[in-house]
Amino acid sequence: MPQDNVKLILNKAEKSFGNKEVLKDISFTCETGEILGIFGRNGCGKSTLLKMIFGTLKADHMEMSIDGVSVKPKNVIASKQIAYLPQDSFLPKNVRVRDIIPMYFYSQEKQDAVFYNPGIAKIAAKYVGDLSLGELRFLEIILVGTLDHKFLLLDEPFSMIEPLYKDAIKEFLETLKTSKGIILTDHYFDDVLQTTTKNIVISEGKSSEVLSKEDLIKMNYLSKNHM
Amino acid sequence: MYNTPTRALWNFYKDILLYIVAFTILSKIVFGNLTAVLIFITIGIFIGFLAFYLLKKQEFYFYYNLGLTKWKLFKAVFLINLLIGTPIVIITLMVVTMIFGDFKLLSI
Repeated sequence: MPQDNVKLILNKAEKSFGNKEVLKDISFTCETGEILGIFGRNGCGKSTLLKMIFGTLKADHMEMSIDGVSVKPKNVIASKQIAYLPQDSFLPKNVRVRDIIPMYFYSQEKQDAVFYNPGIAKIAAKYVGDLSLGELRFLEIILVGTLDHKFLLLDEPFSMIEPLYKDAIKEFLETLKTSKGIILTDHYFDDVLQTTTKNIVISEGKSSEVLSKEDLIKMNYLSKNHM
Repeated sequence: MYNTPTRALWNFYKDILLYIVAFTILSKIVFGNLTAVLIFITIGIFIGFLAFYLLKKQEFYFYYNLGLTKWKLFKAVFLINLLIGTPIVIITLMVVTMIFGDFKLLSI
């Protein structure tokens, strides 16, 4: 691995909603060059965890550091070290794709990289509100992935996406991996396992390392029928 | 300004301006021109933010990814509103007054 790898360490993330303890003890590391997959059943707190890391949801307790420096969640957005793809679309609908790109990137080089992406070039003249679900998700991933942030959080990047776009997204994440650390969560476990370099599963509020598909069965995320 | 995402800020301002102006026109009808201008500069911004939060909450993430927190957006909108929006709204209210007369429902 290159020497200038940057490491994100998350320790003891906890979150309760009322009396319900959703996250009790979540810990993991992710460094540039890695793609970490987070599995977990519906309502186990995957999206909650990503929002806590991004700082848009207050954690009950969480210790996070990037490159050895402690990062307070409330400073994450301003520090521009972590980009986030939320589960629901976040782009303004009344703007054309070609007008969104210069809003996100100053440098001509970055703008060109996005404009001339084959998946983007063909939709550049469309309004965001007129894009199909696949086109929209692809655009969002390209936009947040091309930002200079060292880490990228992706909440369900493969959900409801047609196979051609899925392949393009996987290819894009593979190229991003060389310069970023990526944390993603999705229920399309085959797509996740094909993309990630390491995985964890959240079960009963705690995180455990996943080394194989069998582990997902042992931890009650998959049934034996999935083998 | 090189590192400030001015285009994105301008887009945000345009989005919430619609709500601010609507509230300002309502204020003009109820309270008159001067109060409407004061409302445009002050609580109009809060109303605009509130409307954006209620109708387009998810779009905040568009700005968060550019390093723009709600507080930064608020400060930017306040500044743009003061420098650019205020002269525009004064002219608009003058035109409205010339066409429809200087009317108000309440005297303050």
